[in-house]
Amino acid sequence: MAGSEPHRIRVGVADMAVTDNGANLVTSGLGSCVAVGLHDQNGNGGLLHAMLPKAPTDAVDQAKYVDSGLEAMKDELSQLGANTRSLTAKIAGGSKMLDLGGDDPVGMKNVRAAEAALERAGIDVEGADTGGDTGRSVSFRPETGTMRIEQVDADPLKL
Amino acid sequence: MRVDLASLGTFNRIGTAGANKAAEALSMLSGLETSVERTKINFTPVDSVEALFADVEQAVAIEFDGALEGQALLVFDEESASSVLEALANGDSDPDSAYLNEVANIMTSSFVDGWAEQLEETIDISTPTAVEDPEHRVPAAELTDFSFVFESDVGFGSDGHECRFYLLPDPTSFLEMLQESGEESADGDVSIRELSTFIQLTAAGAETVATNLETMTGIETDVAVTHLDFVPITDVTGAVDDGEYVGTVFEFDGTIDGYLAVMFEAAGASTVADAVLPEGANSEAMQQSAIEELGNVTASGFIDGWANALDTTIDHSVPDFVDDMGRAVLESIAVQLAREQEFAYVFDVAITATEPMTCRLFAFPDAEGFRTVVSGLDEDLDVTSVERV
Repeated sequence: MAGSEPHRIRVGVADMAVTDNGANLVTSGLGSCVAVGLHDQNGNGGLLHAMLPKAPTDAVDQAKYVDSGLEAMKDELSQLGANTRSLTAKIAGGSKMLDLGGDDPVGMKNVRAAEAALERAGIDVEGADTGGDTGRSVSFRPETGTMRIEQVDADPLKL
Repeated sequence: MRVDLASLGTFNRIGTAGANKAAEALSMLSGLETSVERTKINFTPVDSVEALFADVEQAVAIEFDGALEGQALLVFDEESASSVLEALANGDSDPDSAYLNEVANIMTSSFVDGWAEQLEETIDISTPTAVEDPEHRVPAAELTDFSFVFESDVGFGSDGHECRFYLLPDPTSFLEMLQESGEESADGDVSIRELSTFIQLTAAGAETVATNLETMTGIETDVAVTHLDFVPITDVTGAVDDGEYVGTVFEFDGTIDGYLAVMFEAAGASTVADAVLPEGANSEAMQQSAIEELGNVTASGFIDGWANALDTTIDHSVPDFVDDMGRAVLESIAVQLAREQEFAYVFDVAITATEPMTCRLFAFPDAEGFRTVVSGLDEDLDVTSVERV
C-alpha cells in the first residue's frame, strides 16, 4: 500500500530470514557478530546475523556461522525463486567493542569470513560498514538493496 | 540428589518446542507472524521467585500433572494484548476482550502439549483460568532453596509485541526427571545441595554489591532480582532491551573463568556518576572514571565472594568501559563464550534504587569452571559468613 510502512521481519542472533514481499529485515544489537544482506534485482533478498566465522563439521545451527549461514541463505533464496546469479551483498558489524580476543578479535574474523565466502560464491560486496568499536542495528530492504545502520551517538548510515 | 547439568540443554530444547507449538497456535488464530524469541531456565532462590512476576497484573494459568507436575502461566502486557485482540477482531475498533482468554487457553494447552510430545509421555491439564496473583502461585520447594522456572518469550506481529510463558514445574518431581534423563556418572554431575548453596552465595554477593553501591553513591538501593539462567548462547542478548547502557566489562580468571558486566541504563548512569563525583566535577572523563570505579568495586565484591567461599583466588581484569547498545555489549561476550559452549550460565542481578537508576549485573562463568566450582563447594556453607570487600 502506497505510503504505508513496509512489513518488518526481525532477525535474531544466529538467525536469518529471506523475503520476496517487500518486507524490511531488521536485526539489533550487533557487536562482534556480522550481518550480511543479499538481494537480487527482482526484490528478493535475505539477512543473516552470524556469530562465528566457520562452522564445525557437526554444526546443527547453520545461521550461527558465517560460512554455513551464507550457503543456507543462498539456498533459501534460490528456493524462493531469486536469481542467485545476480545477487549482491552488503555487510555490517564485526566490531571490537571489548578488549577481548587479543590481537585477532572474533569480529574481524567474522568480516573476513563473510568477504571470503561471498567471493567464493561470486557475489559482489556493494557496501560495507564493519569493524570499529561500537554496536550497530541494521535494517535491510531487499526490494532496493538498501542497508540502514544505526549506532549510538551517530547519524544513521545508508549503504 | 545429583543431576547432570548437561541434560538441562535437553530440557531447554523441550521448552522451545513447547513455545513453538504455542506460537503456531497464535499464528493460526490471529494470522500474525510469530516466533519464539528465546527459552531459558531460571534457577531462582525461592524467596526471589515472586519478584519475577512483580510487574505482571494478569495471567492465564493452567495446572498439569502426569509426566510433569506443576503449572504454566501465560502473560501478555496491555499493548501486546490489544494487538492480538485487534488482529482477531479483524479491524473491529472495539474487540471483545474475552477473545484473549480463548487465545490464552489454546496457546497454553499447545505449550503443554509440546512438552508432552517431546517427553513422549502424557501430561494431564486443567482448564485454563485467568489469575490476578501470579506471584503467589510459586510451587513450594522441598529439596532445594531454589525453584526451576522455564521462561519462553513468543514474539508476534511487526511491532515488537510479545507474550511470555512461565512453566513452573514441581521442583521435586522435576529434579527426579532431570536425574533420570542424565547420564550416570556424567562429568557434569553436581549435587543439588551444592548448586543451591552456590545460588545462595551469589544472591548474597548481589546484596553486597547493592550495599557497596549505596555506600558509594548515597542512593538507597535494593536488589530487585537475582537468578541464574541457563540459556542458549544465541539468546544471551535478550536479557536487556534495545536501549543504551553505560558500564564496565571485566574478564575474570582463576578457579573459574568468565566475564562480568556491570551496566547502568543510560539515563541512570549520570545520576550515579554525579552522586559519586564532587559537585561541579562532571566532565565526560570524570563520569567515565566514576563508572569504572563503581564497576571495580562491584566486580570485586561479587567475585571475591566466590573466591573466599572456595578458599581460592579469582583475578579480574581492569574495567573495559562501554557506552553503547546493551545488546551489542552482551553479544560481544556471548561470541567469546560461543567458541566453546552452546549454552551459557548467566547470573542476572537487577539493582534498583530510590533515584531513577537501575544497575544490571551479569556474570558469565565458563561452563566447565562453573561445574568445577559448584562441585567444590561445601554444601553446608553458611553463605552469610563469607567475607567480601
